[in-house]
Order: sequence, then C-alpha cells, then structure tokens
Amino acid sequence: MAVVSVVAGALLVVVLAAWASSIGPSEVLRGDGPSPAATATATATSSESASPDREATEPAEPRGTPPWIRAFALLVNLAVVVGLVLVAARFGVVPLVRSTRRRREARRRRVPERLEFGVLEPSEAVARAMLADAEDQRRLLAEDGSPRNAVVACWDRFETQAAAAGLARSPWETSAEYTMRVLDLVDADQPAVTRLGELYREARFSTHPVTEERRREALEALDVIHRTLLRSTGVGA
Amino acid sequence: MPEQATETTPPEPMSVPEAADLARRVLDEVERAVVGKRDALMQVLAAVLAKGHVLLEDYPGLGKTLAARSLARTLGIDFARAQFTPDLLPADLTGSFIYDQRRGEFEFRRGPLFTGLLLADEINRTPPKTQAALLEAMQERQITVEGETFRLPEPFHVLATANPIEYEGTFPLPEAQLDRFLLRVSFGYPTPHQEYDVLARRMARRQEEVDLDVVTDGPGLLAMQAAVETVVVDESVGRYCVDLAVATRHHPDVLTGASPRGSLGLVLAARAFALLRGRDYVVPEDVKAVARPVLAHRITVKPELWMSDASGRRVVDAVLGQVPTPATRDALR
Repeated sequence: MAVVSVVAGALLVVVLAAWASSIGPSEVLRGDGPSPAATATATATSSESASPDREATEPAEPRGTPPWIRAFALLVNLAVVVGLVLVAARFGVVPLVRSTRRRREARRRRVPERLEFGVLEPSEAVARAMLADAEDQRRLLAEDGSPRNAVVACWDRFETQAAAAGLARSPWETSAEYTMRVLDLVDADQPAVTRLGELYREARFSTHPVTEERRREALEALDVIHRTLLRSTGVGA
Repeated sequence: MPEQATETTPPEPMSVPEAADLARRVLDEVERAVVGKRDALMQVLAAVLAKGHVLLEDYPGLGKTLAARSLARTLGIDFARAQFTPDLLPADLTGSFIYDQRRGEFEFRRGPLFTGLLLADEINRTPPKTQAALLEAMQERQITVEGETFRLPEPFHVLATANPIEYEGTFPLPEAQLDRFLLRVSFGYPTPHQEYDVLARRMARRQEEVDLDVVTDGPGLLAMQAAVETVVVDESVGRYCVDLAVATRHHPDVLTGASPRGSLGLVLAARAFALLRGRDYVVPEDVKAVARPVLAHRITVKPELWMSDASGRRVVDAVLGQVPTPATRDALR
C-alpha cells in the first residue's frame, strides 16, 4: 500500500514537472502581472515612438527562451525524477524485499522444527519400522525361551524399531515411559499398550514366576497393537 | 475404637493384593473428608506403610490436621495431637513420674507420645530440646524417663506440620533432624472446583465432623506393613536409587546432598508405593514418583544461592532428568 502511494506520488510529481517544463520558464516571464522591470522599460520606451508593431514583437523576445535554460530545466527535472525513484526504492521496495526474504527464511526454519518435534513424519516412520519388523517380533515373543525373557525381548524390540526410525530414548527416560510414548505417537491401541507394558514390567522387575499364560496375554496385546498400526498407517491394508 | 497392639507381636502377613485393596479402601474413605488430594494422601499412606514419619509443610487451613485425624480414624489407631509451643518441654511429650500419695510411690503418667498416630503441630515453634526429644522417640521408638525405658506402642507414626512462611520466633529443624522424616509432603491449594466441593459437602452433611468408617485396625496396619516387606526390589532399581542420591551430592547448587538414609528412604517409600499400586515388585517409575518427597528436604542448597530459586526440589528434578534409568533388558534369567 505504502509502495503504491509513493509510486503514485512520484508519478504525479513527474507529470507536473513535465508539464511545467513543457510550458517553459518564458510563461512566467511573459506573464501579465506587474513586473517592475517591464514597467521601467515601458516608461523608458514610452518617450520613444510606441508603435503597435514594436509592441507585437516585444513579447516575442522572451518566448525565445535560451536553450541553456531549457537544458538546465530538463536536467533539474531528470534529477528530481531520479531522486524520487531512489527515494521510492529506498523506502518502498527495499523493505518489501527484505520482509519477503525474512518470511521465506522463517518458513524454511519452521519446517525442521516441525520435524524435530515429531508430529507427523516420525510417527509414520516409526509405524512403518514397527510393521516391517512385526513378524520377527511376534516370533521372538512366541518362541524365544522362557516367557519372562520372551516378553522382555519383545518389549525391547519396540525400542530398537523406534530408535532405527530416528526416535532414540533419552537416558533418563525409563524403558516403559519411552516405549509408551512412542506407541502413543503411532496411535497404537491404548489398553493393549498398557497391558503389554504391565507384562513387561512384571517380567523385568518381579521375582515371582512368569507363566506361559502371560506369554499368551502378551501375544494377544501385541497382535492388537500391530492391527491398530496397520489400520492407522494403511500399510498393507 | 479397636484395641491397638501395644506389644510387638509378629503380625500375620497379608498378601500384596489384599493389602493393596485395604489401602485403596482407606484412601477412598479418607478422601471423603480430604477432598481431591489423592496423590498427597497416597504419599502419606505410603510413608505410614513404610514405617516412616511424615513432615507436612504447608500453609494453614489446607487440611493437614483433618488428613491426620481421618487417616488415624480409618486405620483404626489412636490419635493424639500436640501443639508445639515455645514453652513445651520434653516431659510434656513423654510424660513424667508423679507421686501417688495414697500408695506412697511414683507412678508414670504417659504423655501424648504413647499413641498410634501423633500429630505434632507446628514442630518448628518449639525449642531444639523438645524437638530432639520427639525426633529421638521417632527414631528409637522408645523413650527414657529418669533412667527407665518405655517402648512406644506399635504402630507409632508422627505426622509433623511446619509452616513454611513464618520465621519469627521459630526454630527451623536442622538438616540432621529433617533426615529423620521419610517424606516431606505438601498438600497445596485445591482447585476452585475442589474448593467448592468442600463447601458443598459441608452444607450437605449439616455438621462439622465427617463420620468416617473404620477400615482396619492396629494389627491390620501391622500386617499391611509386613506385606510391604515382601515387595522385592530388583538390583538395577536399587542401584538407580543410589545413583539418584549420589547425583544430589554432586549437583553444582548443592552444599550437602542426600545421605545414605536418603537412598534407603527412596527404596522403602518406593516399595510402599508399589504396594499401593498392587504390585509385589518395584519399577523405576515408583522411584520417580516418590523421589521428590523423599529427597528434596534432605538437600541443603548453597547459602549464596538464597536469592535465586534454587531449592532441594529443583535439584531433585534436575537429577531425575540426568541419571540414567535401569536398562530395558537385564541379564537374561
């Protein structure tokens, strides 16, 4: 808006200047207004023969403006126009270019931030990594040694998958906190995640026997999680 | 009021699910009187189940006394309250020998220490001599008057309150004595919704007191405490507790960090917390849940930082955000 008004103002000034220069300074000199010089000449010449011819030729004399005045006026006009264009560029165009550049940079900067906080992209990547490893993980849980070790190994697999997808665990974060955060990110079925998390904690930290029943429950929960992942990502659906 | 166990009879062990269920009922009942403070109440009950004492540091009028009284009522143990004034003497707490003229002999009259749950109100208003007498009783669970030793009843727990804003005419507890409290708990102000709930309930019941049901009794509480003793702590979790306590000693803002009693308190409180959640094993999240109330009051911040917002609580938060937690997989069993 400011730029438009500046440009319009500059154009107006240029048009006025062009009009003024086309009329030329002679108009001002030739004006009818009482000029002391003209009066003086009039009185000076009045004593001489004041013929109408002479009167007619006399005003023609100032019309023949010397060319150097015209050239000077043109130069002044040009200087004014160039000056106005420079002023417009300084106060109108340069800030516009700068703000556009700033906005573009901000937009460029915002993109990695979004990636860093992992709203969309990582969840997709983690979900795909989990699904790609789903069969091996299930086999690990179903066949690997004692139920206790199988449940722990299965839970650990989630961590490996998420880390491979670029979402590493912070050292101060407990395994359950981290994996539940990751599974929450990929929109896995909440009750199944909670159940599997409980089974993992029991297998990892308790001393009482972990039965085959627990392995079966863990398998059920794992299958539910994988099913919801398939549904949410649409992979292989 | 049910009989309380005065002698140390070996309590019948209770299974962890039974104890957890009983604890849940106690909390539900207490919460009828103390509205919306489930987390703080869980911490206080965890400390009682871990055979510890609690320091309630909060502003007046936030339900500290009500919580202590309600807890004693639902747990079915005796309750006594002692107002700690500047002129309170140790004998006012322990009791003293009084000459019985009829029988011509001295008779011991018991003080308020002989109870199940003692509310020591404004403990920082009394001089160090009386504070020391109380803290000694808390630690030893016995008192000695004129060369004669008396065992305190079991269970015996102290809920002490301290006002955090008044310093005029108070005797702040030295760090060595603060260490005797297993937890320091703060209730905090209720939300507007909870505060209105308090008002509405008071209007509805048309009397000041809340009639709470007795959920268990002294032996029941002892059995719950015995159940806490069966909760196991994996070595990695125990080491995590130690690492947390050690890390408080190396924090740059700290003058004196948590003592080994701090790491022991962490394990004991985490075990009780695990039981409240119905588990017979401790997970690292239990330790994290109790770390603040267990460790914050055991940390002395450097005196030159008095103008900054450095505090024991902040140190514990920083430490929790640094110390590595137990590995996902232990050595396979």
